[in-house]
Amino acid sequence: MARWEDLPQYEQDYLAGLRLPEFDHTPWTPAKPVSESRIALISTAGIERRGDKPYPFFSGEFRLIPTDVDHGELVMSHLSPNFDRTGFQQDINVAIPLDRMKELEAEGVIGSVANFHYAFMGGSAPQDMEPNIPELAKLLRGDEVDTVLMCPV
Amino acid sequence: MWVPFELGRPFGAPNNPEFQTKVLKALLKTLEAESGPVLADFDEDAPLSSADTGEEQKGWACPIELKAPPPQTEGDAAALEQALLREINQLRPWYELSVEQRGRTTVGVSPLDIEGNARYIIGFLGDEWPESPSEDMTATVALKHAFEDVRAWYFEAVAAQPGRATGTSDQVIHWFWHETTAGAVLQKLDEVCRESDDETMQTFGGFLLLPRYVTGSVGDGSDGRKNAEFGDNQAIAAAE
Repeated sequence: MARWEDLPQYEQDYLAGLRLPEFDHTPWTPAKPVSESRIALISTAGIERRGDKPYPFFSGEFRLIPTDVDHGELVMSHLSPNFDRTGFQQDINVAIPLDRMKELEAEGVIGSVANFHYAFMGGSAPQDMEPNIPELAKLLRGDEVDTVLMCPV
Repeated sequence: MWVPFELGRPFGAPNNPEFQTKVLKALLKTLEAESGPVLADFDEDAPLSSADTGEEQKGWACPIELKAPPPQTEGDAAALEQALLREINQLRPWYELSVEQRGRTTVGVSPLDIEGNARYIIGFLGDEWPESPSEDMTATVALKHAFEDVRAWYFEAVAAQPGRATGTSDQVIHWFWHETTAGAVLQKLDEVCRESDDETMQTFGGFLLLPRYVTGSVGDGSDGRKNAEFGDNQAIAAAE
């Protein structure tokens, strides 16, 4: 997100009023070395392929994004009007860096890029996303993914 | 990893592979931690684009000189529809130029074309609201997607105009909401939604249509407006 001092007053007031969750414990799993990891991206930008079933309002559903998707297929239907779209319109990699991941794979920085990546509608409630997570985990395991990079919009 | 970029640009700068890779590698570095939680700072601002630095755009010029009239903000639905379609026609060469320049468009969430989306939105300013154009979505979801496509179409069109390239979104957002008939129509639509008895239309108007940039609302509900990011708060409130 932007620097606090760069935000207008209404945005600061909104963010300062947000309620934050408290967690009873902190799960932790050591990661494999990046150079050996197969990595997928998960975006919360409400990205979908043109023609996908539209996200319902406040939906916890996810949509898939193949690694080699034609950039022209990708659209964004996030419900929030409060973040920039013009960057994504110029270059999808500013929101979901598929090309950069492929470059890092070619350079040997990461083990490999997953075949599929996923997008949620980030303004939705986490408990509405939760029922879809077992299915997503199954898909990630099927793709032999070791690591997921979250790309909040 | 915390990054200091504009919301909507988590990897910092469009069309800047070097900077995007720098952000991505910093993110991957967090995976080397032996214990957590980890909160890393990426304390480098996104580099300025040619639009910010004043570097002249090269290689593209619209074949038509356009002098946009002031946006039409008053009138009945029929008058606004005519004005909106006229505005779309004036912007069309720029949109087509943008698609040619970028090789892609992000328009296409809605099943309707740009004129269809404009007419669909205007339909909600009249007495009889139109039905959804698709079995896959309710009329209100279709309205949301019509709005998204119109906004994307305008943003992409104006980005092709000389001197309007989008280094940051501020100027484009201001132009769209305050200098176009489309922006004026959508602000009227917001009034219709918020006065509606239909709960989903109220949600659309109260949460999802106008950005905080336009409303200035903190979204706590005191002015009838809440935030599109309400889901997170709702979840926390439900858990308490």
